[in-house]
Amino acid sequence: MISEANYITATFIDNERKTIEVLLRNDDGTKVHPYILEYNPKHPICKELLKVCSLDELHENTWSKKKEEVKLFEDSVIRIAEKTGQFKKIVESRLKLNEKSKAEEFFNALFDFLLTDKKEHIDRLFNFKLHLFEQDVIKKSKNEKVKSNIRKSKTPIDAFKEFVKIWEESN
Amino acid sequence: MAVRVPLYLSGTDLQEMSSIQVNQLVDQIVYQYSTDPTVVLSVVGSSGNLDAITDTRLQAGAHSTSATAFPSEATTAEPSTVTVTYDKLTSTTTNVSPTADTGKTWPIYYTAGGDIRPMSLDDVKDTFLHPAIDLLSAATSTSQQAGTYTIHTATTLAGATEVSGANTPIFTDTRADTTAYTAGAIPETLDQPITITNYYLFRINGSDTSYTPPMFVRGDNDLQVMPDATFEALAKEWIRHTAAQSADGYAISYSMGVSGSGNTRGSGIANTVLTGSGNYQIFQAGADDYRAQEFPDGSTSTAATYYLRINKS
Repeated sequence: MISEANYITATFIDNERKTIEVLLRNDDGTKVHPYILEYNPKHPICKELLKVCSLDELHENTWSKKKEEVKLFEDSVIRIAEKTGQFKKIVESRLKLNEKSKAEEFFNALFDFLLTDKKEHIDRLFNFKLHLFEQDVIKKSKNEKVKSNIRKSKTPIDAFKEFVKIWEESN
Repeated sequence: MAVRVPLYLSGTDLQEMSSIQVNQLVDQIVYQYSTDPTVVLSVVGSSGNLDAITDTRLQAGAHSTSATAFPSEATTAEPSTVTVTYDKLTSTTTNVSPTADTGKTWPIYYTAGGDIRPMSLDDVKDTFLHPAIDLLSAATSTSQQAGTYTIHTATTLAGATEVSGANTPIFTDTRADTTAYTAGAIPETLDQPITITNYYLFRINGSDTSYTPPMFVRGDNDLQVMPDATFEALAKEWIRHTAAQSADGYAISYSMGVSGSGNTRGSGIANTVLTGSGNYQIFQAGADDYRAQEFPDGSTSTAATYYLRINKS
Protein backbone atom coordinates (compact mmCIF):
# COMPACT_ATOMS: atom_id res chain seq x y z
CA MET A 1 0.00 0.00 0.00
CA ILE A 2 2.67 2.53 1.04
CA SER A 3 5.94 2.11 -0.81
CA GLU A 4 8.83 4.19 -2.10
CA ALA A 5 7.09 4.19 -5.47
CA ASN A 6 3.95 5.99 -4.30
CA TYR A 7 5.20 7.83 -1.20
CA ILE A 8 5.52 11.62 -1.40
CA THR A 9 5.63 12.90 2.17
CA ALA A 10 4.13 12.34 5.62
CA THR A 11 3.41 14.62 8.56
CA PHE A 12 1.70 14.47 11.92
CA ILE A 13 -1.59 16.35 11.81
CA ASP A 14 -2.39 16.63 15.51
CA ASN A 15 -0.67 18.18 18.50
CA GLU A 16 -0.58 14.81 20.27
CA ARG A 17 1.48 13.38 17.37
CA LYS A 18 -0.78 10.35 17.12
CA THR A 19 -2.20 10.85 13.64
CA ILE A 20 -0.24 10.94 10.41
CA GLU A 21 -1.23 12.18 6.98
CA VAL A 22 0.68 10.49 4.17
CA LEU A 23 0.54 11.92 0.67
CA LEU A 24 0.60 9.16 -1.95
CA ARG A 25 0.66 9.09 -5.74
CA ASN A 26 -2.05 7.09 -7.47
CA ASP A 27 -1.11 4.13 -9.66
CA ASP A 28 -0.44 6.13 -12.81
CA GLY A 29 1.24 8.93 -10.88
CA THR A 30 -1.19 11.57 -12.09
CA LYS A 31 -2.93 12.35 -8.81
CA VAL A 32 -2.03 12.76 -5.17
CA HIS A 33 -4.29 11.49 -2.43
CA PRO A 34 -3.95 11.68 1.34
CA TYR A 35 -3.97 8.60 3.57
CA ILE A 36 -4.48 9.10 7.28
CA LEU A 37 -3.33 6.60 9.86
CA GLU A 38 -2.64 6.26 13.52
CA TYR A 39 1.01 6.26 14.61
CA ASN A 40 1.29 2.67 15.76
CA PRO A 41 4.56 0.92 14.89
CA LYS A 42 2.77 -2.45 15.22
CA HIS A 43 0.12 -1.64 12.60
CA PRO A 44 1.00 -3.15 9.21
CA ILE A 45 0.33 0.06 7.25
CA CYS A 46 2.31 2.14 9.76
CA LYS A 47 5.15 -0.37 9.42
CA GLU A 48 5.08 0.19 5.66
CA LEU A 49 5.29 3.93 6.20
CA LEU A 50 8.17 3.69 8.66
CA LYS A 51 10.15 1.77 6.03
CA VAL A 52 10.10 4.82 3.76
CA CYS A 53 9.92 7.59 6.37
CA SER A 54 11.50 7.31 9.81
CA LEU A 55 9.96 8.79 12.95
CA ASP A 56 12.61 11.52 12.95
CA GLU A 57 11.76 12.40 9.36
CA LEU A 58 8.09 12.51 10.31
CA HIS A 59 8.86 15.05 13.06
CA GLU A 60 11.07 17.08 10.73
CA ASN A 61 8.44 17.08 7.98
CA THR A 62 5.81 18.17 10.50
CA TRP A 63 8.00 20.95 11.82
CA SER A 64 8.74 22.24 8.30
CA LYS A 65 5.10 22.08 7.26
CA LYS A 66 3.87 23.87 10.37
CA LYS A 67 6.55 26.50 9.99
CA GLU A 68 5.48 27.07 6.40
CA GLU A 69 1.79 27.21 7.41
CA VAL A 70 2.51 29.73 10.15
CA LYS A 71 4.51 31.86 7.71
CA LEU A 72 1.73 31.74 5.13
CA PHE A 73 -0.82 32.67 7.76
CA GLU A 74 1.27 35.56 9.07
CA ASP A 75 1.91 36.78 5.53
CA SER A 76 -1.80 36.70 4.77
CA VAL A 77 -2.58 38.68 7.93
CA ILE A 78 0.03 41.30 6.99
CA ARG A 79 -1.31 41.48 3.43
CA ILE A 80 -4.84 42.03 4.71
CA ALA A 81 -3.66 44.61 7.24
CA GLU A 82 -1.70 46.48 4.56
CA LYS A 83 -4.59 46.33 2.11
CA THR A 84 -7.04 47.81 4.60
CA GLY A 85 -4.65 50.41 5.99
CA GLN A 86 -4.63 48.76 9.41
CA PHE A 87 -0.95 47.89 9.19
CA LYS A 88 0.01 51.57 9.07
CA LYS A 89 -2.32 52.33 11.97
CA ILE A 90 -0.85 49.54 14.06
CA VAL A 91 2.72 50.65 13.38
CA GLU A 92 1.89 54.26 14.19
CA SER A 93 0.08 53.35 17.40
CA ARG A 94 3.00 51.17 18.47
CA LEU A 95 5.45 54.01 17.84
CA LYS A 96 3.37 56.30 20.03
CA LEU A 97 3.60 54.00 23.01
CA ASN A 98 6.25 54.97 25.50
CA GLU A 99 8.83 52.46 26.66
CA LYS A 100 7.11 51.89 30.00
CA SER A 101 3.73 51.00 28.58
CA LYS A 102 5.40 48.78 25.97
CA ALA A 103 7.18 46.91 28.73
CA GLU A 104 3.99 46.54 30.75
CA GLU A 105 2.13 45.33 27.73
CA PHE A 106 4.85 42.83 27.01
CA PHE A 107 5.00 41.51 30.58
CA ASN A 108 1.22 41.24 30.79
CA ALA A 109 1.02 39.34 27.53
CA LEU A 110 3.88 37.05 28.57
CA PHE A 111 2.30 36.23 31.94
CA ASP A 112 -1.10 35.76 30.38
CA PHE A 113 0.35 33.36 27.82
CA LEU A 114 2.39 31.34 30.28
CA LEU A 115 0.15 31.30 33.32
CA THR A 116 -3.39 30.96 32.01
CA ASP A 117 -5.07 28.09 30.18
CA LYS A 118 -6.98 30.21 27.68
CA LYS A 119 -7.98 28.27 24.60
CA GLU A 120 -6.23 30.71 22.27
CA HIS A 121 -2.98 30.11 24.15
CA ILE A 122 -3.33 26.36 23.81
CA ASP A 123 -4.02 26.90 20.10
CA ARG A 124 -0.71 28.80 19.89
CA LEU A 125 1.16 26.12 21.81
CA PHE A 126 2.41 24.39 18.69
CA ASN A 127 3.88 27.62 17.34
CA PHE A 128 5.46 28.28 20.73
CA LYS A 129 7.09 24.85 20.64
CA LEU A 130 8.38 25.57 17.13
CA HIS A 131 9.86 28.80 18.43
CA LEU A 132 11.57 26.97 21.29
CA PHE A 133 13.05 24.44 18.89
CA GLU A 134 14.44 27.24 16.77
CA GLN A 135 16.58 28.44 19.69
CA ASP A 136 20.27 27.55 19.37
CA VAL A 137 20.34 26.19 22.89
CA ILE A 138 17.77 23.55 21.91
CA LYS A 139 19.28 22.87 18.52
CA LYS A 140 22.63 22.13 20.13
CA SER A 141 21.26 20.15 23.06
CA LYS A 142 21.66 16.37 23.11
CA ASN A 143 19.05 15.98 25.85
CA GLU A 144 16.47 14.04 23.80
CA LYS A 145 14.29 13.31 26.82
CA VAL A 146 13.69 16.96 27.61
CA LYS A 147 13.19 17.72 23.91
CA SER A 148 10.59 14.97 23.81
CA ASN A 149 8.94 16.47 26.90
CA ILE A 150 8.71 19.81 25.10
CA ARG A 151 7.06 18.10 22.14
CA LYS A 152 4.55 16.38 24.43
CA SER A 153 3.81 19.31 26.73
CA LYS A 154 0.17 20.27 26.97
CA THR A 155 0.52 23.90 28.10
CA PRO A 156 2.90 26.78 27.34
CA ILE A 157 4.25 26.81 30.90
CA ASP A 158 5.03 23.08 30.75
CA ALA A 159 6.92 23.56 27.49
CA PHE A 160 8.76 26.56 28.92
CA LYS A 161 9.73 24.68 32.09
CA GLU A 162 11.37 22.00 29.97
CA PHE A 163 13.08 24.66 27.88
CA VAL A 164 14.53 26.19 31.03
CA LYS A 165 16.05 22.81 31.97
CA ILE A 166 18.03 22.76 28.73
CA TRP A 167 18.89 26.43 29.07
CA GLU A 168 20.25 25.83 32.58
CA GLU A 169 22.24 22.83 31.38
CA SER A 170 23.88 24.99 28.76
CA ASN A 171 24.92 27.69 31.23
CA MET B 1 -11.14 -29.91 18.52
CA ALA B 2 -7.82 -29.02 17.02
CA VAL B 3 -6.02 -27.84 13.96
CA ARG B 4 -5.85 -30.85 11.60
CA VAL B 5 -3.69 -31.58 8.58
CA PRO B 6 -6.02 -32.52 5.70
CA LEU B 7 -5.09 -35.32 3.33
CA TYR B 8 -4.84 -35.01 -0.43
CA LEU B 9 -4.22 -37.42 -3.27
CA SER B 10 -0.63 -37.37 -4.49
CA GLY B 11 -0.52 -39.73 -7.45
CA THR B 12 -2.13 -42.77 -5.90
CA ASP B 13 -1.02 -42.02 -2.35
CA LEU B 14 -2.69 -40.17 0.46
CA GLN B 15 -0.48 -37.41 1.75
CA GLU B 16 -0.76 -34.74 4.45
CA MET B 17 -1.03 -31.22 3.10
CA SER B 18 1.80 -28.77 3.64
CA SER B 19 1.07 -25.55 5.51
CA ILE B 20 1.21 -23.79 2.13
CA GLN B 21 -1.54 -26.04 0.79
CA VAL B 22 -3.66 -25.48 3.90
CA ASN B 23 -3.18 -21.72 3.52
CA GLN B 24 -4.32 -22.00 -0.10
CA LEU B 25 -7.54 -23.61 1.12
CA VAL B 26 -7.97 -20.77 3.61
CA ASP B 27 -7.40 -18.23 0.82
CA GLN B 28 -10.05 -19.98 -1.28
CA ILE B 29 -12.46 -19.75 1.69
CA VAL B 30 -11.76 -16.01 1.90
CA TYR B 31 -12.51 -15.77 -1.81
CA GLN B 32 -15.78 -17.67 -1.33
CA TYR B 33 -16.76 -15.17 1.37
CA SER B 34 -16.07 -12.28 -1.02
CA THR B 35 -18.53 -13.67 -3.56
CA ASP B 36 -21.44 -13.13 -1.17
CA PRO B 37 -20.53 -11.51 2.16
CA THR B 38 -22.96 -11.77 5.04
CA VAL B 39 -21.79 -8.62 6.84
CA VAL B 40 -22.38 -5.90 4.32
CA LEU B 41 -21.79 -2.17 4.53
CA SER B 42 -23.77 0.16 2.33
CA VAL B 43 -23.77 3.90 1.74
CA VAL B 44 -27.11 5.47 2.57
CA GLY B 45 -28.38 9.03 2.35
CA SER B 46 -28.86 9.42 6.09
CA SER B 47 -29.62 7.59 9.35
CA GLY B 48 -27.06 4.84 8.85
CA ASN B 49 -26.78 2.40 11.74
CA LEU B 50 -23.04 2.91 12.26
CA ASP B 51 -22.13 5.90 14.43
CA ALA B 52 -22.43 9.29 12.76
CA ILE B 53 -19.34 11.44 12.33
CA THR B 54 -19.17 15.22 12.11
CA ASP B 55 -17.40 17.73 9.96
CA THR B 56 -16.93 21.13 11.59
CA ARG B 57 -15.72 24.40 10.10
CA LEU B 58 -15.65 28.07 10.98
CA GLN B 59 -18.02 30.53 9.39
CA ALA B 60 -17.92 34.32 9.58
CA GLY B 61 -19.66 36.12 12.41
CA ALA B 62 -22.67 38.26 11.59
CA HIS B 63 -21.67 41.72 10.39
CA SER B 64 -22.26 44.87 12.43
CA THR B 65 -23.07 48.33 11.13
CA SER B 66 -23.02 51.88 12.48
CA ALA B 67 -23.86 55.28 11.04
CA THR B 68 -21.11 57.06 12.99
CA ALA B 69 -18.01 54.84 13.33
CA PHE B 70 -16.73 51.38 12.65
CA PRO B 71 -18.14 48.86 15.13
CA SER B 72 -15.28 47.73 17.38
CA GLU B 73 -13.87 44.23 17.26
CA ALA B 74 -15.28 43.62 20.73
CA THR B 75 -18.82 44.32 19.60
CA THR B 76 -18.54 42.47 16.28
CA ALA B 77 -19.76 38.87 16.33
CA GLU B 78 -17.08 36.19 16.46
CA PRO B 79 -16.85 33.45 13.82
CA SER B 80 -18.95 30.45 14.77
CA THR B 81 -18.77 26.74 14.07
CA VAL B 82 -20.83 25.00 11.40
CA THR B 83 -21.38 21.30 12.05
CA VAL B 84 -22.36 18.84 9.35
CA THR B 85 -23.26 15.31 10.42
CA TYR B 86 -22.46 12.35 8.20
CA ASP B 87 -24.49 9.28 9.03
CA LYS B 88 -24.08 7.37 5.80
CA LEU B 89 -22.94 3.88 6.73
CA THR B 90 -25.30 1.02 7.38
CA SER B 91 -24.23 -2.49 8.30
CA THR B 92 -26.51 -5.39 7.41
CA THR B 93 -25.92 -8.92 8.62
CA THR B 94 -27.53 -11.87 6.85
CA ASN B 95 -27.98 -15.06 8.82
CA VAL B 96 -27.52 -18.33 6.94
CA SER B 97 -28.18 -21.97 7.78
CA PRO B 98 -25.25 -24.01 6.46
CA THR B 99 -25.19 -27.71 5.66
CA ALA B 100 -25.05 -29.77 8.84
CA ASP B 101 -22.11 -32.07 9.53
CA THR B 102 -23.10 -35.69 8.73
CA GLY B 103 -19.89 -37.04 10.22
CA LYS B 104 -18.46 -37.46 6.73
CA THR B 105 -18.92 -33.93 5.46
CA TRP B 106 -15.44 -32.58 5.95
CA PRO B 107 -11.92 -33.44 4.73
CA ILE B 108 -10.09 -36.36 6.28
CA TYR B 109 -6.88 -36.44 8.29
CA TYR B 110 -4.54 -38.97 9.91
CA THR B 111 -5.02 -39.47 13.63
CA ALA B 112 -1.99 -39.85 15.88
CA GLY B 113 -2.56 -43.60 15.65
CA GLY B 114 -2.46 -43.51 11.83
CA ASP B 115 -6.21 -43.94 11.32
CA ILE B 116 -8.09 -41.89 8.76
CA ARG B 117 -10.87 -39.80 10.22
CA PRO B 118 -13.13 -37.02 8.90
CA MET B 119 -12.60 -33.65 10.51
CA SER B 120 -15.32 -32.51 12.92
CA LEU B 121 -16.94 -29.12 12.55
CA ASP B 122 -14.80 -27.85 15.43
CA ASP B 123 -11.70 -29.10 13.59
CA VAL B 124 -12.86 -27.27 10.48
CA LYS B 125 -13.31 -24.09 12.48
CA ASP B 126 -9.81 -24.32 13.93
CA THR B 127 -8.17 -25.36 10.66
CA PHE B 128 -10.01 -23.27 8.08
CA LEU B 129 -12.81 -21.00 9.22
CA HIS B 130 -11.23 -19.12 12.09
CA PRO B 131 -7.93 -18.55 10.25
CA ALA B 132 -10.01 -17.23 7.34
CA ILE B 133 -11.82 -14.81 9.66
CA ASP B 134 -8.44 -13.77 11.11
CA LEU B 135 -7.36 -12.84 7.58
CA LEU B 136 -10.64 -11.16 6.73
CA SER B 137 -10.49 -8.97 9.82
CA ALA B 138 -6.80 -8.03 9.52
CA ALA B 139 -5.66 -4.40 9.35
CA THR B 140 -4.55 -4.54 5.73
CA SER B 141 -6.62 -4.15 2.56
CA THR B 142 -5.45 -6.92 0.24
CA SER B 143 -7.29 -9.76 -1.50
CA GLN B 144 -6.95 -11.72 1.75
CA GLN B 145 -9.49 -9.28 3.16
CA ALA B 146 -11.83 -9.73 0.18
CA GLY B 147 -15.47 -8.96 0.83
CA THR B 148 -14.66 -6.61 3.69
CA TYR B 149 -14.37 -2.85 3.56
CA THR B 150 -11.84 -0.04 3.56
CA ILE B 151 -11.78 3.74 3.29
CA HIS B 152 -9.93 5.66 0.60
CA THR B 153 -9.60 9.31 -0.43
CA ALA B 154 -10.00 8.84 -4.18
CA THR B 155 -12.88 7.44 -6.20
CA THR B 156 -10.81 4.52 -7.43
CA LEU B 157 -8.68 2.05 -5.53
CA ALA B 158 -6.80 -0.83 -7.12
CA GLY B 159 -8.25 -4.17 -6.02
CA ALA B 160 -11.43 -2.70 -4.59
CA THR B 161 -14.83 -1.44 -5.69
CA GLU B 162 -16.43 1.82 -4.61
CA VAL B 163 -19.54 0.81 -2.70
CA SER B 164 -22.07 3.50 -3.51
CA GLY B 165 -21.53 3.00 -7.23
CA ALA B 166 -21.96 6.73 -7.73
CA ASN B 167 -18.80 8.06 -6.09
CA THR B 168 -20.80 9.26 -3.11
CA PRO B 169 -18.45 10.30 -0.32
CA ILE B 170 -19.24 9.01 3.14
CA PHE B 171 -17.58 12.11 4.59
CA THR B 172 -16.37 15.42 3.26
CA ASP B 173 -13.82 17.37 5.24
CA THR B 174 -14.34 21.08 4.73
CA ARG B 175 -12.81 24.26 6.03
CA ALA B 176 -13.72 27.91 5.64
CA ASP B 177 -12.36 29.27 2.38
CA THR B 178 -10.51 32.30 3.77
CA THR B 179 -9.83 33.60 0.26
CA ALA B 180 -13.56 33.91 -0.38
CA TYR B 181 -14.08 36.60 2.26
CA THR B 182 -13.26 40.22 1.40
CA ALA B 183 -13.78 43.41 3.40
CA GLY B 184 -15.28 45.19 0.39
CA ALA B 185 -18.06 42.61 0.26
CA ILE B 186 -19.22 43.02 3.89
CA PRO B 187 -21.79 41.72 4.69
CA GLU B 188 -20.14 38.55 3.44
CA THR B 189 -22.03 35.26 3.21
CA LEU B 190 -21.36 33.66 6.56
CA ASP B 191 -20.61 30.09 5.47
CA GLN B 192 -18.19 29.80 2.55
CA PRO B 193 -16.60 26.35 2.74
CA ILE B 194 -14.02 24.66 0.60
CA THR B 195 -13.73 20.88 0.28
CA ILE B 196 -10.44 19.56 1.57
CA THR B 197 -10.87 15.79 1.19
CA ASN B 198 -13.64 13.39 0.25
CA TYR B 199 -13.66 9.92 1.76
CA TYR B 200 -15.18 6.89 0.03
CA LEU B 201 -16.16 3.39 1.12
CA PHE B 202 -14.67 0.50 -0.87
CA ARG B 203 -15.29 -3.24 -0.83
CA ILE B 204 -12.12 -5.27 -1.38
CA ASN B 205 -12.24 -7.54 -4.42
CA GLY B 206 -11.60 -11.27 -4.21
CA SER B 207 -9.01 -13.35 -5.99
CA ASP B 208 -10.01 -16.87 -7.03
CA THR B 209 -6.79 -18.61 -6.10
CA SER B 210 -5.87 -22.19 -6.97
CA TYR B 211 -5.73 -24.93 -4.33
CA THR B 212 -5.29 -28.63 -3.91
CA PRO B 213 -8.63 -30.29 -3.13
CA PRO B 214 -8.69 -32.38 0.03
CA MET B 215 -9.93 -35.97 0.32
CA PHE B 216 -13.15 -36.91 2.06
CA VAL B 217 -15.17 -40.06 2.94
CA ARG B 218 -18.13 -40.79 0.73
CA GLY B 219 -21.41 -42.18 2.01
CA ASP B 220 -20.29 -45.68 0.98
CA ASN B 221 -17.10 -45.16 3.02
CA ASP B 222 -14.81 -45.00 -0.01
CA LEU B 223 -12.33 -42.13 -0.11
CA GLN B 224 -12.62 -39.54 -2.84
CA VAL B 225 -11.07 -36.25 -3.90
CA MET B 226 -13.54 -33.63 -2.87
CA PRO B 227 -14.95 -32.00 -6.02
CA ASP B 228 -14.12 -28.28 -6.23
CA ALA B 229 -17.81 -27.41 -6.37
CA THR B 230 -18.47 -29.37 -3.16
CA PHE B 231 -15.57 -27.85 -1.25
CA GLU B 232 -16.38 -24.34 -2.44
CA ALA B 233 -20.08 -24.62 -1.64
CA LEU B 234 -19.39 -25.93 1.87
CA ALA B 235 -16.69 -23.34 2.45
CA LYS B 236 -18.95 -20.55 1.29
CA GLU B 237 -21.89 -21.57 3.47
CA TRP B 238 -19.77 -21.96 6.55
CA ILE B 239 -17.58 -18.85 6.21
CA ARG B 240 -20.71 -16.80 5.56
CA HIS B 241 -22.32 -18.34 8.65
CA THR B 242 -19.19 -17.80 10.75
CA ALA B 243 -18.78 -14.16 9.74
CA ALA B 244 -22.43 -13.45 10.55
CA GLN B 245 -23.21 -15.66 13.53
CA SER B 246 -20.09 -17.18 15.06
CA ALA B 247 -20.63 -18.06 18.70
CA ASP B 248 -16.88 -18.57 19.13
CA GLY B 249 -15.77 -14.93 18.85
CA TYR B 250 -15.33 -14.88 15.07
CA ALA B 251 -18.37 -12.92 13.92
CA ILE B 252 -17.42 -9.84 11.92
CA SER B 253 -18.73 -6.37 12.69
CA TYR B 254 -17.80 -2.82 11.75
CA SER B 255 -17.73 0.43 13.67
CA MET B 256 -16.99 4.03 12.87
CA GLY B 257 -15.52 6.44 15.38
CA VAL B 258 -12.48 8.00 16.98
CA SER B 259 -11.86 4.90 19.06
CA GLY B 260 -13.15 1.37 19.22
CA SER B 261 -12.27 -2.31 19.12
CA GLY B 262 -10.73 -4.07 16.17
CA ASN B 263 -8.44 -3.15 13.31
CA THR B 264 -8.62 0.16 11.50
CA ARG B 265 -9.33 -0.09 7.80
CA GLY B 266 -7.88 2.17 5.16
CA SER B 267 -7.40 5.86 5.60
CA GLY B 268 -8.51 7.59 8.76
CA ILE B 269 -11.07 10.34 8.26
CA ALA B 270 -9.84 13.71 9.45
CA ASN B 271 -12.07 16.60 10.45
CA THR B 272 -9.75 19.56 10.01
CA VAL B 273 -10.58 23.09 11.12
CA LEU B 274 -9.11 26.57 11.24
CA THR B 275 -8.26 27.64 14.77
CA GLY B 276 -8.17 31.42 14.54
CA SER B 277 -10.20 33.71 16.78
CA GLY B 278 -11.47 35.83 13.89
CA ASN B 279 -10.09 38.18 11.27
CA TYR B 280 -11.74 41.55 12.06
CA GLN B 281 -12.43 43.53 8.90
CA ILE B 282 -14.08 46.91 8.28
CA PHE B 283 -15.67 48.53 5.26
CA GLN B 284 -17.11 52.00 4.80
CA ALA B 285 -19.88 51.51 2.28
CA GLY B 286 -21.09 55.13 2.38
CA ALA B 287 -20.74 58.42 4.24
CA ASP B 288 -22.73 57.11 7.19
CA ASP B 289 -22.46 53.39 6.59
CA TYR B 290 -19.67 51.82 8.65
CA ARG B 291 -19.49 48.03 8.61
CA ALA B 292 -17.45 45.39 10.39
CA GLN B 293 -17.33 41.61 10.26
CA GLU B 294 -15.07 38.88 11.57
CA PHE B 295 -13.97 36.30 9.00
CA PRO B 296 -12.67 32.79 9.71
CA ASP B 297 -8.88 32.62 10.01
CA GLY B 298 -6.07 30.73 11.66
CA SER B 299 -3.88 27.76 11.01
CA THR B 300 -5.15 24.26 10.30
CA SER B 301 -5.74 21.79 13.09
CA THR B 302 -7.24 18.30 13.20
CA ALA B 303 -10.28 18.37 15.47
CA ALA B 304 -10.93 14.62 15.25
CA THR B 305 -9.84 11.58 13.28
CA TYR B 306 -12.39 8.86 12.73
CA TYR B 307 -11.61 5.31 11.64
CA LEU B 308 -13.61 2.50 10.11
CA ARG B 309 -12.85 -0.54 12.23
CA ILE B 310 -13.42 -4.21 11.60
CA ASN B 311 -13.85 -6.36 14.65
CA LYS B 312 -14.35 -10.05 15.36
CA SER B 313 -16.34 -11.02 18.42
